Amino acid sequence: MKRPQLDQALPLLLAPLRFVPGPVNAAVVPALLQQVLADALADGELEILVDRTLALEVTDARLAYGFTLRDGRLATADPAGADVTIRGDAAAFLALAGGAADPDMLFFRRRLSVEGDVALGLSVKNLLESYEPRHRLPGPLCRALEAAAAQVKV
Amino acid sequence: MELLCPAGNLTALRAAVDNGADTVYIGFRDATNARHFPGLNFTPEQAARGVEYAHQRGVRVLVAVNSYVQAGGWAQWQRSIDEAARIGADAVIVADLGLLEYTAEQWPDLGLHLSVQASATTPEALDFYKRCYGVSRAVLPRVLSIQQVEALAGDTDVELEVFGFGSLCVMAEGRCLLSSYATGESPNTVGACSPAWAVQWQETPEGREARLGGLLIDRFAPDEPAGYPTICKGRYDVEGALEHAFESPTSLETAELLPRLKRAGIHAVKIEGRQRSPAYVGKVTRIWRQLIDRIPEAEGDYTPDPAQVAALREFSEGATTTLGPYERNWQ
Repeated sequence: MKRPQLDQALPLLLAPLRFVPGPVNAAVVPALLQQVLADALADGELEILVDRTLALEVTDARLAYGFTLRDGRLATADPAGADVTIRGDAAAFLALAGGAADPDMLFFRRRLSVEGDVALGLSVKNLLESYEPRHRLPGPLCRALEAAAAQVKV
Repeated sequence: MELLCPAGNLTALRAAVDNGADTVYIGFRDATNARHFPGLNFTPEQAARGVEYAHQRGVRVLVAVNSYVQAGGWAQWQRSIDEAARIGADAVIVADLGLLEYTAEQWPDLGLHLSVQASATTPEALDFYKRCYGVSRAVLPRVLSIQQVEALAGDTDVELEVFGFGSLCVMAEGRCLLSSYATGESPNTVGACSPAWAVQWQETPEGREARLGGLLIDRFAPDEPAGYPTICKGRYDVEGALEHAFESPTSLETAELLPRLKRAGIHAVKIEGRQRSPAYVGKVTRIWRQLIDRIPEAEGDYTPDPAQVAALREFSEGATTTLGPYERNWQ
């Protein structure tokens, strides 16, 4: 089946992120996450990432990010040595971020994979579902994300 | 018929309530319920907020305390019953005899439902739970054919609840210790068939390998739909043939049986999946609300909306659905 246009364009749209210098990523990415996960941080729910690294890999855009919790704040880390790695294509991650898809379904359909410490991966999955970080984005941005997520075919 | 929907966190609970659930069922964050996974389920404070949200909208909340009390664990299981009563839950879903008696004696105003884990399938068993503990409703295990469900409904005055959609259990529900073989733990003891610490996924050139407690239980070809890593859904070498010896990865889906279940007097239909996301809960609840609201009164052939059936299949394990034991006419 031919995939709709947004799906095909996504990896290309994201591709330039590959060339963002490490120090810029290290400054910008955690700041963004800090913002959208502020409630989870305040509730201590991100303690699971102390001395632990979660990696997210967007396979078709060839992007990989590692995250850990350092001194009470989210920070980037080397994804190569992650305790758990969640891999998926750009459309799958977009659908998840926009609340349009169920991660177990994506996992059954082989659009997502989890390798490493499954308990840590499951903790993060459940935490993201519970706190729905998109709702901490400015209203129009959240609605745009939800609209884009609803468009991708997963 | 009442529609019962699962929730593993507040977001999912709101999704269930907002999309038409009559009742939401939840569990606490420990081994006292059969969906015990890291980061899932409710603290008592979150559960209280959930009850408030649901009750304001006329929706009931049930708390599953449906694993079996383990040696030395009485205080923990008792606490879950006490918390459920304290937060104003409408009923608890229980299987353990000691907990049933405790609940009946200590919290006579708290509704008491018999969990599927108790595996009660005869009028005599149902009558026992009603007479001894005032159980008002029983969840039937997913082992009965539709004819058996109909016959049982005619023979008991305990309200019956059946599973309508979601992951399927093999035919030893509530008595299954299969996962203990690989992990030393089981749903009845710690609340999980595949405890997360024991699960390992590996993407290899041959496909996705699933291990439980270090044992290889399946290898999915690169594009093959996968399922949960439970022993009962693994593929094994049985006398030279590599096959699903117990059950293949698939989900129960019973929309086409709704008119028969309703005519039989089944009181409630339950959606499985407290471990699933708010997206699943919201979408599946919305579809089942419509299916239940549109059950035809007249007898005759009934075909549920194919678009809705297809949408449900999207969420299924192995991307397939089955009527499971409901259609096993040999029983």
